[in-house]
Amino acid sequence: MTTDFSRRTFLGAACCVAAAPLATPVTFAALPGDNRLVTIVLRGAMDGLALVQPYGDPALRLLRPKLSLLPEQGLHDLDGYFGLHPAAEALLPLWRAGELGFVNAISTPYRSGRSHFDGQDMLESGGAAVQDERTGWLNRAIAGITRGSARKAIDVNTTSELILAGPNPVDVWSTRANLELADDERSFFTRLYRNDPVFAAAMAEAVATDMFSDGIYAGEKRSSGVESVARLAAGMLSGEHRIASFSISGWDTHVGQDRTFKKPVGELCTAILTLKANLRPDVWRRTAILAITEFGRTAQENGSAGTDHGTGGVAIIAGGAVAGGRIHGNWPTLSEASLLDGRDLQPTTDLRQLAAAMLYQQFGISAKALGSSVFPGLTLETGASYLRG
Amino acid sequence: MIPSFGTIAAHRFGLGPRPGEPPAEDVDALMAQVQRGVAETCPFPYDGIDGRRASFAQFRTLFRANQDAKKNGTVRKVGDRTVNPYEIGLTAASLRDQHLKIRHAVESPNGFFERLASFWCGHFAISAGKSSAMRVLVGLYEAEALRPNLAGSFKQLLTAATLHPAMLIYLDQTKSVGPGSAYGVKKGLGLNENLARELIELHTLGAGSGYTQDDVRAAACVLTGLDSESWKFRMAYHQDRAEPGIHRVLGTDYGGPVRRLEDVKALLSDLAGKEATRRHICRKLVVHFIADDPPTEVVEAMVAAWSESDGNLPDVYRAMLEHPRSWEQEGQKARQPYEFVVAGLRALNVPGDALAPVRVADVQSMVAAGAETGTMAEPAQPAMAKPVAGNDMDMTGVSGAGVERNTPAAMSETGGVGLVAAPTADGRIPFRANPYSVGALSRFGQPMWKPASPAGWDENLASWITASQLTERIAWSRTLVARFGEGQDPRGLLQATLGDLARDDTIQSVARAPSREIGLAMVLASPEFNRR
Repeated sequence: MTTDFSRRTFLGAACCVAAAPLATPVTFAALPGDNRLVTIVLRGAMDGLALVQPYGDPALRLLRPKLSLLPEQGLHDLDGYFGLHPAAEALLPLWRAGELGFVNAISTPYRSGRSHFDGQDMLESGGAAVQDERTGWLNRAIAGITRGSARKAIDVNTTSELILAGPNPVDVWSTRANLELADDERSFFTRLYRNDPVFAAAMAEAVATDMFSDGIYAGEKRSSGVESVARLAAGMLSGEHRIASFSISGWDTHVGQDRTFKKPVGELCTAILTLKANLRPDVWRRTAILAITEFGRTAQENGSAGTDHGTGGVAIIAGGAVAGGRIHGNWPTLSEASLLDGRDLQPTTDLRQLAAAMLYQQFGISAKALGSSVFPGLTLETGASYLRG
Repeated sequence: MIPSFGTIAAHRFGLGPRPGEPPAEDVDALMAQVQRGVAETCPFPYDGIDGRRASFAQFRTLFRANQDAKKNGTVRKVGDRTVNPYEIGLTAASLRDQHLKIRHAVESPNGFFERLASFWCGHFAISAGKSSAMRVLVGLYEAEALRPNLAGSFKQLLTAATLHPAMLIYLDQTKSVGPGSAYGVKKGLGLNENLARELIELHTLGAGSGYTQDDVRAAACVLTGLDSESWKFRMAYHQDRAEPGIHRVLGTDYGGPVRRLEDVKALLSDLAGKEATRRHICRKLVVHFIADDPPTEVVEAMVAAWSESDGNLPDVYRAMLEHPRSWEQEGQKARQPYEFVVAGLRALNVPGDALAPVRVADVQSMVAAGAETGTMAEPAQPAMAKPVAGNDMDMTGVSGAGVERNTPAAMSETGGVGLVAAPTADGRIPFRANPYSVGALSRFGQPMWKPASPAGWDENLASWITASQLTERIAWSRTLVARFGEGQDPRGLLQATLGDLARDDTIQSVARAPSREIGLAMVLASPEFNRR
């Protein structure tokens, strides 16, 4: 946990805000919270066994004769046992710099249903069972952040997503939205919405965020691509926002996975590298990126050179704040006896533990709050160190 | 003041009022809309169901020609850009279908039927993003499998949707092979559980209703054998791919030593008849039409009607409409983007001709296409030379109406009915999305026939009324009234559109707007117009 801040950090943030006079100014209370958290929801069930391949496990090639790779086939060796998929090559410099790590055999408590719908519900709501929680864990976490400073969060999407949905205020913004109203016209719309709380809140957010994102793009073309999304998130995080969330979809690789897996992996690389490129080094150093998915995929490839819905998977952690250059989590192996239900990678880490550890270290949310309101019923394990220092 | 039946009917159960269209007076009038809707000829695909099916052969020819061109290094290039007439033809057809769907919804007097069609499209969701060819199948699927079956039994609708080739492709059933079937053993192929899972979880029983992974797997075994014939896109049943043996799903056995399509139909019939299914569907209907937190008494009334009528959908709809609770508490739901766009176009009485795709100036293309596509295989050439039927002689390229429909009489020289649009002279798609209709949906995050997941579109008010949504809705309202609001008075539009749903403060805000244009835009952007 950090309370020190440099004047340079403050001025850097302030200058970004200064371009947007109507945005909430940075107050003194806002200064101490310098840590950032970015969550990227990988929708569709990312195949962890394809991204980080246990090529040292002899069972891999038996289970996946078509899909598994060896270092001589382009797999990038990470530690002599695991290798990174060639499509994620762009991330290797981060791995070497200790700014990229993986958590293996991870899963929410969701078991056996293998439905995207329920799996994402649990991933984002943080409940112990489907439909246990109706709001997002990241939203509930905002209330646990004691310093008012770090409370601003943004959901970079056209519509709000469950992970950040809930009673605590969150800015939802898409990369393309642009209000383009004259001041007087804007005030009439504000007036139109004043007696409808939902619309009034959306309008207030629109006005504030529009001013701000105008500054980020400075007249450049906006698009909905992942690069724009990550740039907007980085811009917000350089200002007063401390939490950002967005999604990358396209991971549901039931068919022809050697082909279909590349695009979302490329987008994930772009997202992480764009964040790094657009955050000042001192901000990047305090940033943790957490990329998570609803569940892993079957250990065995299916009849159409793809994989079906499974259980244990991989989480990606990146950023200057994470303990990278290593693979966290206990590896259960792919031997027949270790597979869950004889088909899936056995989860050995509860994904909520990883998320809780991030919130604990980045924002100082108490173990009590984490175990009661953020992830009800969870006892925070302090053993694993996913973050530096 | 309590809003009138007609006003609530138009907003909550329809697509908003349109000048000149009499409001529904009672439940019977709404139910008559359903019967009329089912009976009408669906306006999309733009080339008709037969025309679309005839076009598949042309698409196949274009696809193969493009493969050959790639192999021979003769792919047409314009600058750095390669031109793929196959992809361009698919996109052009898809754009025409999408524009016709919105135009039809704007012009239709059967608002309740159109809303039901939206609901069921979301329930049995498929996406044009699944594959290239899917773009010309999504509209066909709605026209063939859904719309004609919205006033029959749920079993009939479920069977039509599940067995449609578009669904079989979307949920990977075409990739699923019984591992113990003759074909599976020979080729070493296996199961794909996708359709089986969504069939149970989304389309019938619902998540968390007590089924297990074993049920899903057994259902996947029952479904093996189903396939879509390549380039014909007709459902086929291949006995040699069906997993032999008996498969137990939710305690019932299906199959035997010889597998038949009847096993699949029996499974669908049984799933349609489950208690969990009727509860799941009735609740979902109430969530869609009435409130995110659905009133139990309405759900119960619908479940009872379902049980009494053995799942006859009109009885279920009627039970919802006849329940007094369905008419209370206005504005609990957000109009989703599709509904918002259609309601806005209706409110301003935008003429159908203005809702065609934007035609990219292509005066040259029709002349040049024949010569330019010299790499085309022979049979496709005549069709390519006459790309856009209906109004080919309109060389100005500005008339919107002619772009939309192929008349049945429009025959290519090869005798085919469907005509695939050719690229423009500079190798582009000949149409663009109309920013007032189809283009707006993408900006609003609800691109037509392209939901992000098999679960369809989100229902929550909070998901649709966000800062960026509101920004886009205000921006679209302003462009729309600038183009089509001429001669309209904001107070008049407010009265005609929202009637007694308009609150006093909204009436005042609109009356005080700084300009006529802003006033008109405020009507469409108002909370009352964006809720229903």
